[in-house]
Amino acid sequence: MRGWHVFLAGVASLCAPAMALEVGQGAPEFTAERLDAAQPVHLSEQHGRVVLVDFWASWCGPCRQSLPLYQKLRDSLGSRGFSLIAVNVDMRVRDGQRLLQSMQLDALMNAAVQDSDGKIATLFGVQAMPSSYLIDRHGVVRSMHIGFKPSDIGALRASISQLLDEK
Amino acid sequence: MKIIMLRFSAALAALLLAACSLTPPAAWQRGNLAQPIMAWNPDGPGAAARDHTYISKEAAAGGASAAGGGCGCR
Repeated sequence: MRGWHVFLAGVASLCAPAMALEVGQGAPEFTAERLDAAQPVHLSEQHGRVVLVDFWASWCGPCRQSLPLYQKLRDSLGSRGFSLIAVNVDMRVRDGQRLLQSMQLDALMNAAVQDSDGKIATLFGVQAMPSSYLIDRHGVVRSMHIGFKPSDIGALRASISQLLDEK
Repeated sequence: MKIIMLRFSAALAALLLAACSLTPPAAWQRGNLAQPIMAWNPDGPGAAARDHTYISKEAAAGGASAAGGGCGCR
């Protein structure tokens, strides 16, 4: 009889949607290969810094708008303790690399990581592309943003600055 | 024996039903759907010209499209 219950639970679990991460929860730990094939990135290594985890893909129009602006944020706020982890979800890693090269964003290559099998996206429960998660110095998700338009960057910069001022 | 057959039938029915279910692709799995060949109408200008002709002939517009689709971007 117990086996029967396990079977039913298994069938039910196939139908269950992925659990989405919520504001106030700790960010899930992950390790990912960088797009430039250098050292893997561990989220835990960023503890003590404010981190923006952004999920993007080469086929996603708003992502193309966001990446140059995120790179500017990184340039201007990096010295204050801001880090960007740009998680590329392209099934073919080459597509993500090619997009960064074509947009002359080679500098972003060392912040871009591969998630071609969607493991990190599943951990975060990504609902739409692009999605970004702002994580404070203690590893807690403080805000999340779905979609992107260039006018969003001002509010994002303000949120990051606020978190950078927190100890 | 009858109970075993009943359970087997129920399990088979559950499996068949599961096979019929349609799980939409996750947001990050829509790369192939976003390719131009997957567009509902791959010939945009041609479709616009046909729509224009249709609207002129029928004196009515709309009703030829549906919501949804695309790459999942907002």
